[in-house]
This record gives sequence, C-alpha cells and structure tokens, in this order.
Amino acid sequence: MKAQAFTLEGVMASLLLLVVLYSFFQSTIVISPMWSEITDAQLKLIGYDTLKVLDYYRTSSDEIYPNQSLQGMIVHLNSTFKPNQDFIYALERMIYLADYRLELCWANLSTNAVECRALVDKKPTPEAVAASRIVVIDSGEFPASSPFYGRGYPIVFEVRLILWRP
Amino acid sequence: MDRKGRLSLDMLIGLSIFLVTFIFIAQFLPTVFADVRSEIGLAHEAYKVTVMLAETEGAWSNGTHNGTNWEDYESQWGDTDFVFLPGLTEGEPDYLEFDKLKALQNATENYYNKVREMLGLLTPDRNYNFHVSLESLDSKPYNRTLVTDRDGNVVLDAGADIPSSGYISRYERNVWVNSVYDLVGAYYIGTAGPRNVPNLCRVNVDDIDCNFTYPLRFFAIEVFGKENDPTNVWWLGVCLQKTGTPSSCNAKPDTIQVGYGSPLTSSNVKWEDTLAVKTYELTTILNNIMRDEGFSDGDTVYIKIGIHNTNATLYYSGTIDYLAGKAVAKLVVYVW
Repeated sequence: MKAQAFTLEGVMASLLLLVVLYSFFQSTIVISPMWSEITDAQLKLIGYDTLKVLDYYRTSSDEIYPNQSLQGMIVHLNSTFKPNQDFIYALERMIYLADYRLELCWANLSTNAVECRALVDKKPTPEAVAASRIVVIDSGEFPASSPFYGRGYPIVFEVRLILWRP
Repeated sequence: MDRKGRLSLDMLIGLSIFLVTFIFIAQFLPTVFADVRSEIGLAHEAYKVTVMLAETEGAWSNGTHNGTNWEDYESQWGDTDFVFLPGLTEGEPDYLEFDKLKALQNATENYYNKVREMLGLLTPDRNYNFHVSLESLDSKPYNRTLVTDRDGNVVLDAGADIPSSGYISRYERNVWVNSVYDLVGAYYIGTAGPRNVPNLCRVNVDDIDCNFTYPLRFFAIEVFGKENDPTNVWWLGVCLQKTGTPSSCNAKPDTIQVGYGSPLTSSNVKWEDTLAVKTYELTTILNNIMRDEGFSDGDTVYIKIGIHNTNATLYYSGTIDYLAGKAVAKLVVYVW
C-alpha cells in the first residue's frame, strides 16, 4: 500500500515540473538574448546612415556648406552650442519618430585634450544606441562668432548621435 | 534480518517517471525557440540584403570577365553562366545610382528567382521571399509613399507581394540618390512658350497657382535668361499663403523675391536675390518661412509664382526630400 503513494507523488511531481517549465518558456518573460540586437541594429543603421547623408563633401573650397549638413551645423555654432534649425529639421526628418541626443567632441591641440559638448541634451533610455562620424573642418571656415574661430589648425570633430525609441 | 539487496519498486517507478520527464523536456526545450529562431533568421537575412544593396556597388561575372556595372548586362541576366550581385551604390555606401535602381526593378520583375539566388535568399536549405522599394522618408508600412522619377513613374518597387500576416522582417536604410534631377519633375514656367506645371498647379495668364503640402520636399527654379529684349526688366516672385490663393506676386524689377502673403511688399518679403542665370534652390527657404508662420506637417500651402520676361523651369518633387544638398529617400527591404 505504501508503494502506491510514492509512485503517485512521482507522477504528480513530474507533471508539475512539466507544466511549470512549459508555461515559463511560453510566456514573454523569457526573451532570447538576440532579440534586443534586432531592434538595435535597425536604429544603429538609421543613425549611421543619417550621419553619412548629412556629411557634405565639397568639390571646391568656394562651396558653402549647406546649413543642413554636419559641417554647416558646426560652422554656425556660437557660444550657446545650439545647432541651427535647418540642421535640426533635416536630422529629425531622417530619424523620424526616434528620439535623440546629439553630442560634439573635438580635439583641442592647445590643451592636448578632447572636449565634448551636448548640442541636444536629452536623456537617453537604457536601450539607446549610438552612431558617430568624424569630420574635419579647416579653421578658416569659422566666423568670428564661433567658439572655434582663430584656432589656426584644421579641427577634427566627432559628431555623436544617440538614438532611442520613445 | 533481510540479507537480500532489494530496490524499492516505488523508487524505481518514480525514478523512471522522473527520467522520462527530464528527457522529454530536454527534447522539447529547443522547439520552444524554433519560432523565435525563424524570426531572428529573417532579421539577419533582411539586414544582409540591405547591406548588399545599400553598401556595395555590386558585381558581375560570366566566368571569363567581371566588373561592377552589372546594370549594363540586362541581356545576360538570365544566362546560367552570368552571376551578379545587384548592389546599388556609386562606390560609396548609401549613395545610390539611379540607373542601378531601375536595373534592379527590371531584374527582379523578369528574373525574380535569380535575384533571390544572388542575394542568398534561395539556396538548397533556405527559401525566402523579398520585396524592395525606394520610399519617401515619412513613408509608413501601412501607408507607403513610393519615390517617383521625373516622369512620374515609380523608381523601385520590386519583388513578391508583401504578405499581410506571418513573420516578416523589415529594414530600412536612409540613402541619397544620384542624380537629383532624375527624380524631380521639370516644368517650364517661363514666359517664352507654353507652360507645363505639376498636377497640383494651374496656369493663369500672368502667373501660376499651386496647392502643395508642408513641408515641401523639393522646389527649385532654374533661370535661363530673359525671354526676349535684354533691355526689358525681368523678375520672379514666389508668394506663400496659408489660406486662400495669393492675389498677385509681382517682384521688384531684376530680382527674385519670396514672401509670405500678397502682393509682395518690403514688409512681407522674406528672401530676395538679384535675378540671374542660375538655379535657385528654394526648398529650405520656403519651408523655413512656413515654419516661422506656424505651419504644421500636412498643412496646405497656397503658392503663387509671378514671372515676367523670364525663361525658367520649375523642378518639383512630392516624394524625394532635398536635405543637405542631396536627394534623400529610404530603401526598404522586406524578407519573409
């Protein structure tokens, strides 16, 4: 008679184990580690492509950088480090529906340091991705109102675009 | 005392049931991820296709020769010894060539399975369908806006029909296209001869009225010179309004002026330049004026173009965006 009780417990324990495991893995709690990379990859591509499209390659030094380009945005910065509206329009048109933070870093040869400023200072979520692009602008391009005026050497800038889904 | 070794029957049965269950779960668990794996696989295939299309200029080979101008060998696409990778770029990632876009359209229409094979979507152990299109930046999956060329034909919308259900992976790439004037309509608006205008415009005796939507995507005017007597004055005016058609849009002699409201006066002119033989790219100027006047996306803008003694062509597109000096759109790839 005792034998029956132990067997029944074994059956019930196995069934319970099975049901629990089945429900656990069928639920949305368990996410494959690859999933976040899928949404990241699309956003990363958008960031990369956006910076590439906005990078304006001049065919002659007489050409003026469009305001909407990375170079045009940097050249027209003043002490407030606020990007011009044309650039913001072009950027937002391309990243469409994603939220973003924009940072600018540059090499300061006088102090041998890399300085950075947030041009659009929004707080990213933990799922944010980043893309960046290096541009070089000759010192003669900057107007007197620019914080980069009069450096006397070509300045290397890194434009960093951090994107996330709101 | 019982000297015989004896295993409890209960324990044996319990152990057996436990082991069977354990083995069953071990076999069952990988299949839990099967659906997810196929979703992940699709995403990788779509990503791979976008990289091949948007980041490479492509290649071809017929066994003896090779090159990157696969678009020039249309008569050989179907040949068994001719293989090609239908990359779309001009040699730089995201910089697409108009001719290659049209070639991909033709190749996919006529040799769909061959293109699938070349993109790695059709192999002995893999069989995916795809669809690729060139769409406006604000195109949505449920309301697609396809980019059209200067003749109003869709540039790229090729592949199998996109299913309405099931696992589909979609990737988009922001690109720019060479050249912009293949993608915009050219309309003669000068005073020298018969005018033709976009669908949303109407030719009057002395001017042209248009109803467009904010923001404008591409709007440029190329001035070729005076219509006849070079000593006569010439001018070109562009007037914008949020409601109602502008009454008139006469600019100052020898100038091009853009203003909000009509008629043009010193108080409502927002931009002006000396009229000369050149192309005036007005997209950003017009959009900035409308933005400052409180236009929202989708608002109708009434534009009047006043023109006098001038030979000019209007370049306009409602599908391609002109940003940072480039014709920008997005390449969208679906794989299932």
